[in-house]
Amino acid sequence: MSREQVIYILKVLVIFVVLSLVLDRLVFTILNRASDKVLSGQGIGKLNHYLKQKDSLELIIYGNSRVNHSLNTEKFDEQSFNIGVDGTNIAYAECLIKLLPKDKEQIIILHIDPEQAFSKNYAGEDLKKLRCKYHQIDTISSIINRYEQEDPLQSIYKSRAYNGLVFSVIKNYLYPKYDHHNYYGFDPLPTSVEQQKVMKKLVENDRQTECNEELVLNAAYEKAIDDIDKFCHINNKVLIVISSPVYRDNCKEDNIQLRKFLDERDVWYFDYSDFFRNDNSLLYWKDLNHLSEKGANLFTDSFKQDISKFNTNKLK
Amino acid sequence: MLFNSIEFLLFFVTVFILYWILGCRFKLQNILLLAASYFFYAWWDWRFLFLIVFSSSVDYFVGSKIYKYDRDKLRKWWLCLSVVLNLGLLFVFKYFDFFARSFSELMKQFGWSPNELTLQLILPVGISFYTFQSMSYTIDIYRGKLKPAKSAISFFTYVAFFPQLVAGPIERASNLLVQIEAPRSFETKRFNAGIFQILIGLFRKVVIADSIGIYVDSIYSNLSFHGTTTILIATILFGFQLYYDFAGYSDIAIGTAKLLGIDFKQNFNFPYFAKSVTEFWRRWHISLSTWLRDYLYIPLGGNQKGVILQYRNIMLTMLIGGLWHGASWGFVVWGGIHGLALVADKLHTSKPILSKSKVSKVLGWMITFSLVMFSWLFFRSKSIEANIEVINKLFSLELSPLFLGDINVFFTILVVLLMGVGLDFYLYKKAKPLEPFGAQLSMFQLGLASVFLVLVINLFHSTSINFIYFQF
Repeated sequence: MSREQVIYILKVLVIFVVLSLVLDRLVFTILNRASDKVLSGQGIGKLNHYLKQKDSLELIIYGNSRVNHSLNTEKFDEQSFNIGVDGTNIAYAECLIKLLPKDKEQIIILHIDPEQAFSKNYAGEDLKKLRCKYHQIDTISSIINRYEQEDPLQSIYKSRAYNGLVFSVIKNYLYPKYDHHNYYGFDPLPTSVEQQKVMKKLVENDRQTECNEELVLNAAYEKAIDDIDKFCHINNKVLIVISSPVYRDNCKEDNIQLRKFLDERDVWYFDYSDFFRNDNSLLYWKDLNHLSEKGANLFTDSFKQDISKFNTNKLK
Repeated sequence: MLFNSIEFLLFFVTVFILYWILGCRFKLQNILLLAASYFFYAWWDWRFLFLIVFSSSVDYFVGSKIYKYDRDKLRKWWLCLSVVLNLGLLFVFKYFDFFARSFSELMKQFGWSPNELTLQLILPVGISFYTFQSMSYTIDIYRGKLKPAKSAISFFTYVAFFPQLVAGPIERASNLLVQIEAPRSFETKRFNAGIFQILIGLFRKVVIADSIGIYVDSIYSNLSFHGTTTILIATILFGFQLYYDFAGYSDIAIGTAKLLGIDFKQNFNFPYFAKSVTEFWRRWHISLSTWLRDYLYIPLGGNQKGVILQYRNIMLTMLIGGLWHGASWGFVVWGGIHGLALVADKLHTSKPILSKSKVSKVLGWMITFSLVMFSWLFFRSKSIEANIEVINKLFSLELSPLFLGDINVFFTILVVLLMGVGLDFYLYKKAKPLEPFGAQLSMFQLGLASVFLVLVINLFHSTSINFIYFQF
């Protein structure tokens, strides 16, 4: 390779590095400015909406799609928000909980799926959904780093924070999905006749599965629950852990083990997995793990009564 | 290590710098390439390093013996040794369990339940590719088309050359070995072409293919809950996923080799624009289709022994070609479909029903595209039962609304697919292959194109990790 060729390669490299970093920062800045104004949509809007009002909320619900579609926050007396997000897990919830203001009295409803709590492979991958805030909120970046879910290239190319979110940001910036002032986080799942047929098929095809032979609480779950519990104690929060209803809970042992774990830590736990066992109409379900709007409203009414019976001066 | 990983980037940059520091000393460069290739392969699974060294040693030795002897009988004997050993390795690691299980299932139909004797061996990465590549060497020496490698290092490097080791293209000694045994020079045009093709390959693979994969996986994992429309769209999208996954990988392999001053043959030439199945096989996985033509179809007699035997040879070649892809009857069925289509194409060519008008070309494209897309479902659904379920669904005409899933993902798929198909269509219409396209770019144009592609990759890459053809 001649000297001229080496210089050529270096020139290409310099042009590429300079231009790519400039363009990256430009795109990142534009997307930041746009996304900060997005307060609707599951991609980033709901998260922004939560961040905007978290300090003023009295009751907040955390978890995945199961709780997102099962607890109707409009029915609560307290100022409430359901930040259940599809495809998330306990690390995501932990991150958002730790953003809450210190000392303010707040009720934390945290959904845990017992099956996921005892899975072997979970290591906080759901934190990838918070990478869009990696460069903006220190708590989020530190938790992502702790779970080793950081994108190594994101420190060089900041626009990677918006991977998979660009169209969602543009669309909701230009045409918001809903008026966020009238949105409290609950996403009802209306069902149709077609859906009922699908649900019937799901029920027919559902097979009884046995529990895993060895039930060991996932290490990430154990640490996260301890951290959340500690945070709540220090910061005047009431932590209530729930497992929302499922159509058919085939393994009970994980629920029992989870209850034992939480009891050892004096954490309140309500297991609603079998809530509809005695009246399991298909009308209450979207699929085997998610309630329909009808089922969610029934469940919410009952849950609200349960937590109001709490013997604690921290609840209204 | 995957091509789209930081480990590979660090690995390749190191190799690139050391390689060109060695300059014209191509023998030292070959030693470096060999060491790097074995390191690359060992990264996957160091235990199978012994296998590739063994296979290379046998063929290097056999090649020299074939060339040395004049008597055809002896030469044939050595050739058989090479073929039997290579195919034997392939059979043991890839097909033994499949045939053992199939035999056991067949016997159960007759009321006998033999013990299922399976080896449960891990499939060594790339074995289907490097055994074929190594065999072509000994066969070409036997045919008098090639002289043996000048040194063991150059031959071992030819077999193990890391850009194409684990998933092709399947190179011929007449192309690759010749370049390995000659000094390589750095050319800026080839450098430009290499960089551009690597980035296009990454775009095709991590943006288009992997994004489509998210949607396709969600549909195929819940087949019974989707109607005809959704499954049809998912099947077509899978065809694009497969193409962009494999073509993307080939682009990265070809581009990487270019950066080392080595030219691979083109492996994909816009196959989805083919107007007949015959044309499709001149455009899809060209390195495999030409290998099968030269080392299976032609030795069987090709089209030289009459029409009936030609059709037989086509069917055999395609059935074996199907089986090469994987140890499953689904792949054999896939091969059979293409075999029948090729036979039908030959029949039509000899007695054309349609004239060569524009309308017939469009019709030809539609038929070819539909057939190819339909046949891919045998790649996706691994079991016969799943295949039957998909086919039933497709022909049941349950015209329920299309399931979009995550609307963000679906819209991303549409946009990036449009970009990918748009680029392909542009190059196809201009009759410009992708391989040398980057060579015409100036330094600044290359910089700009790279910046744009990297931005698109950063914003739209999927986080799922799959190189579909690695399973072969």
